[in-house]
Amino acid sequence: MGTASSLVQNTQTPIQFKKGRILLIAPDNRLSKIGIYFVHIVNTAKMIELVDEWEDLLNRYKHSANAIESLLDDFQKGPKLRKLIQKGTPSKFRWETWKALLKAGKKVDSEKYINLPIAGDPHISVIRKDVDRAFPQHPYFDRSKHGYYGQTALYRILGKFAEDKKDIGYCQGMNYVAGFLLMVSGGLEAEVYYFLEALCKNFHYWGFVCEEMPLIKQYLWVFDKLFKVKNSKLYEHFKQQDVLNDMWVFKWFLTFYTAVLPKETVVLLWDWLLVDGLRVLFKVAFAILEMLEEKLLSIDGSEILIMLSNIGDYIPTCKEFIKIAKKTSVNKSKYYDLIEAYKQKKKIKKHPETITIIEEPGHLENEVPNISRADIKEANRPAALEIKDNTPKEPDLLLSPQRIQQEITEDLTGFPFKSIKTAKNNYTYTPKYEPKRDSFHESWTDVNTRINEDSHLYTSDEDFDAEALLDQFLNHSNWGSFE
Amino acid sequence: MEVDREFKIVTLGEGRVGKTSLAMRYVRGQFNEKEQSTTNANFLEKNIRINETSIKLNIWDTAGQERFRALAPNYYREAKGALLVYDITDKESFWKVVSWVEELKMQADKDISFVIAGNKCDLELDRQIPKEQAIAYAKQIGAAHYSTSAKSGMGVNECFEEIAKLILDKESRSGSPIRSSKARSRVIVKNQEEVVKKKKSGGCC
Repeated sequence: MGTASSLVQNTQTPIQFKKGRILLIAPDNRLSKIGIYFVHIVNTAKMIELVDEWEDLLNRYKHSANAIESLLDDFQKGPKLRKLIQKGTPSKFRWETWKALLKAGKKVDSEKYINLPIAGDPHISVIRKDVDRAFPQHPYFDRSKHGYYGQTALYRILGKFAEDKKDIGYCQGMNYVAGFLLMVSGGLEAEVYYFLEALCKNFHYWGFVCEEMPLIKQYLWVFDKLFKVKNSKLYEHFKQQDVLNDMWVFKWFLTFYTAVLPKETVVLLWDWLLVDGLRVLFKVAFAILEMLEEKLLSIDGSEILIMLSNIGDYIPTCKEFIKIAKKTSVNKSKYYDLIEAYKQKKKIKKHPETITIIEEPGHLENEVPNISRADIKEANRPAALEIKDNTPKEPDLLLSPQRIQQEITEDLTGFPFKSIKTAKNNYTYTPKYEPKRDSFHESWTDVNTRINEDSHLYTSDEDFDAEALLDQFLNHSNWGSFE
Repeated sequence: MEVDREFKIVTLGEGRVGKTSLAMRYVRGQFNEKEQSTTNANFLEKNIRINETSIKLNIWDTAGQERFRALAPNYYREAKGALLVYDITDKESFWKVVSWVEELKMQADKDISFVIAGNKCDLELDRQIPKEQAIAYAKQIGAAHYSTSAKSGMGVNECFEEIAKLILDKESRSGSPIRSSKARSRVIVKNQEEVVKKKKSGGCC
């Protein structure tokens, strides 16, 4: 047991194998205690190469406080950055990269987060229900294994958000976005909260989820116009069958595809989305329609809707899909003209708090911040840190065991799930501070199959058998030998 | 399988009363506590047989949250049946049903059939809406009332099949399959938008 927890504390350093690496992340670095892990496996030559490329690049910035942020600042000029991120950010660096893209990193204030109050009704009763319905298949949200751990984190994020951002409150669909972010970040609750905030402020997400939903109305209107031009045959068919855009693309846009596409695809889609902006939403939608066109033309209204709400079953695997989607064109000037036209039509209200960093989709092509690398280095000089310190940091959330205890007790008093009684004993939320070997092992292999988008992406490349290695790793009596 | 009739049914009710669970229970025959939440609507279908007539039910399960309400007319126009769901442990959800009935009477197809479902009747101890009151209300608006539990399965098949029967009855009485004309419904949509706006500014609920 002792060796297991010492291993866990060292989660940020990947374990090296001959042909691959495994990185373990425990949610907010505390869950190692009850057996949930996020496992990132780098298992192919291609992927190793990519990670090395990133590490080399980041190494250049090892003197800045946040190497990834500095790297991105320098890469703002566009094509280089786009190329780099769109190769598929290595999962090890993905969360930090996303945070840097949205300028969310500096906002994270774990202490403040803990003390934020949770909203009351009407929001909270909807949230309570919805946290239970976000990604229930994922190990992090698997109640039978970990109680309500993931759900509680999601509950707190959404509840605190609804209270703090009164103009947004809670909108159904946010559970998918926040739940997805929890999985990508490796369960970093406070960071997800501030990322969500940045997504609202800097990426126009507020306009999708606030009470009046002005932006989703705008984009649906624009989508309708583009759809009509782009694929008039399908457009007419939908019209004839009484299939309105509200009924399908609405959900795709509202959840930025987190609720409709397989997780591995969404991860790559967001890599792309956060760099290229909201026009990506359109490209993906049109790519899907194009792929399914023939089939869609042959079925009637309700069948169309059923198909479009289960598109994950019909489209190719993630990497292939993204490749096709990227080739789908959405005429840029036409797109912006339409947005302008809509704004003229509606005289849209601007969100008072919106600081528009991402002015409109494709911002990176236009905006070049005038900061030189020397400036950045100078500004960040005092912190002469090793590169390792720039990988996801442990939040200050849980410094002392007392703090952990206190937090958890607080959770329990306002616990959202009291009324649900399950017969299972493992429902209890109280974390066991000693890891249970059995559940440890179980969740581990499970996480392995679920989480790791990298292994999913590059399966054909080499004969690296991550699962066998994990087994070997887990059953090995001497944990230390792998470090 | 050959289908004689195709009916569109819409589920309406406040968020989290269990519309999705009911629909899923009916269509897939299972209760899943891990149901996905509904953002705009879920689309389901089920083939059934009533008195030698094979029917395909298209069930449009709508989102209950208030901010999605403006979308609802898209779903209930053209619908021939509506399942109005409330949670027996939640008073407000019942008043929501009442307001839906008012809206449907004004906006939806004239011949739309209602069934009211008092869901979560496995939580009888927490009941806040007296059953008699709900039944009396249903009677008053000419609807059937069912006590349902998506969890145990009680009343689920019955309430959906009741809707199908009501629609069939109406068809046989009027002598021909009810077809709502598109031209008419388009006009209705315009009105709906106005009404919805008016209601919003009035600030009900």
